[in-house]
Amino acid sequence: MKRCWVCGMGVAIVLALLCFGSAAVVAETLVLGTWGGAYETLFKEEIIPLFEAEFNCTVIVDVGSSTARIAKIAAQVNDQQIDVAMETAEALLAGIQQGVLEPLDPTLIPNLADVDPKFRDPFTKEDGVYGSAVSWTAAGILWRPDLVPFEITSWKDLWHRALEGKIALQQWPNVGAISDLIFSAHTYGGDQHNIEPGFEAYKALMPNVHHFFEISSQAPAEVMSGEVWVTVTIAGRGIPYLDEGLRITIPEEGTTYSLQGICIGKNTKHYDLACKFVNFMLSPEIQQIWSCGLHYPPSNPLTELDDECQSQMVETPEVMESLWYMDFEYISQMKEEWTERFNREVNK
Amino acid sequence: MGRSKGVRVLVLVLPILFVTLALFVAPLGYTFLTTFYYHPPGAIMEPILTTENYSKFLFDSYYWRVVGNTLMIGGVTTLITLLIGYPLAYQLARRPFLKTAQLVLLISPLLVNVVIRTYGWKVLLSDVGIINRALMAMGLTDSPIRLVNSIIGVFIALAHVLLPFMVLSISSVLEGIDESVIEAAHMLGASRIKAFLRVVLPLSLPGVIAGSVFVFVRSAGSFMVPALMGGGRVRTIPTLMYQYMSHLLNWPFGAVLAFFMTFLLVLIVLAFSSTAMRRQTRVEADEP
Repeated sequence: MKRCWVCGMGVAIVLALLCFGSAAVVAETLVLGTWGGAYETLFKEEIIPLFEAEFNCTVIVDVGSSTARIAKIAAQVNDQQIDVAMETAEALLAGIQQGVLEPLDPTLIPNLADVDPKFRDPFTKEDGVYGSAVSWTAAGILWRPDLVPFEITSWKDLWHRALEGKIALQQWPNVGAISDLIFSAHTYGGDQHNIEPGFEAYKALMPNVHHFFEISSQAPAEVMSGEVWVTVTIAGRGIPYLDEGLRITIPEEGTTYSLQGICIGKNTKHYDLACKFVNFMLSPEIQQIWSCGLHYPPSNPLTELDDECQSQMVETPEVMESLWYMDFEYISQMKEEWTERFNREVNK
Repeated sequence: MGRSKGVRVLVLVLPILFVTLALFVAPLGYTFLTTFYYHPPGAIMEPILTTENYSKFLFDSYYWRVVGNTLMIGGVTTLITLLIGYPLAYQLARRPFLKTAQLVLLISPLLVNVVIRTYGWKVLLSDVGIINRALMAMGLTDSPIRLVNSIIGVFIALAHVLLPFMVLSISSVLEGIDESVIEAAHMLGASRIKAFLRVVLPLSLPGVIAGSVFVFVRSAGSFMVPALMGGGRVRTIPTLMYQYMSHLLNWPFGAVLAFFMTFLLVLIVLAFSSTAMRRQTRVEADEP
């Protein structure tokens, strides 16, 4: 009797090991580093379930900021924990420079060839492509027409005396702050490679600046509360507030843009699956979900967006034509110097 | 017997020694090493030894201004909590009224996460917040007073959260003062004010010093409050460290700032402690 019981237990254990063992072989786990808020929600509720179903795997989300994530990837390079990472252009370029990202295999990521070169070439080096933009966003002016005593149509309007102490800008050295410096340069005769006019104009703008905000999602809320009347941030951030009276202006003279990039951590243990995820994110079907969910234009021009989705985007084809060329590599190199100048000369 | 006791002690101490070495000393040592690494523009760091990071910090007046700002925030916050906290501590120790309720109210800020608490202050103190609206409704000001996104907001938020530490440090010492000492002073002709100034206050100094050290170190080393309440205009060593480490990925220079901040705070704590010890030695020498 005892021998039968023991034999039975042994068989059960072996069967269990076989079942779980085989399941473990099939269910690979991918760690995706991304931003929180709307990005995290979109990934968890819509994109990741589709990927997990198609590729029979598990995707774990690790939330944080771009630069903190690149720092993690660099720190863990000998035992990489982050397989795929969403990054801003500057952070992605810092990762390339530091040598902590894997080149993307074009045979595993065929959708990479369809990406608009403007959104892929910044991350292309001699030995390969290290990342790609998934989407892009234009900078815009978000403002309250019921509070501002004139129509804002140009970047130059931000220097109007009527806006003294009424503007919120993004804190240095976030992407938005660099964008503010560059639009200041363009407005007063310079550009990203001739930044001196930008610093002079930026200093002249300071009496109109009420405070600096840390994250871009704060900005429209502060305008709607009346704390400030005007802010400059990702134009699409204002879309949820249009019905409440907020206006979004992307000046016709041009604007800066930022990229939402994707890359693969060096020495990832799941390189093939990571490439499949990148390919998945660049596919027209997922680009549509991403773009319509966040109101960000896709980087893959083959993506079809329905009328409702397009009506929720402020980055029209005209806006795309007016974008100022952004030399992200140069900006990445100059970021620290510009930040230190801001600390010393502007934010004394 | 002695040797076996030594071995037993060693065995007991080894786990904590290992944890301290592996999780504290080793990372600290590596961080110190990184202060000598080279930071290439647009990247993080390369293991090329250089003293550039130290030169950059020591010979640039901007960073000394930030150090000054950091110490000023620590000093002013300490003064505010002392001025508010001492009377409260005295009342709790010598003339308690609803003591438990007061203590609960006092420590309740500590039960709330620092980010939530600070955002609460941002809402209350903003230009369109309830404080400014009340001041304008009462006719005390025509336009909002800049309470948040300024150094004033930083002081308010820091004092709010650090006040309990000052009060509890002082009240615990005040409770230990023998009532007969104060009675003796009165019997010898001292007025209430004189008895307080010549007897109670000197005896409460250990609590004042302990509370001041704690508040100073916590406020000077605070990152979240200056970052959220300062509106990007209040620059301290911790916020600068965050800027270099997390945003600019200049880990070597961020590490220099971290070590300097630690060194400075240790010096200040030692100075306070030495003052307290010298005072204690004098008191003991005066005893019959």
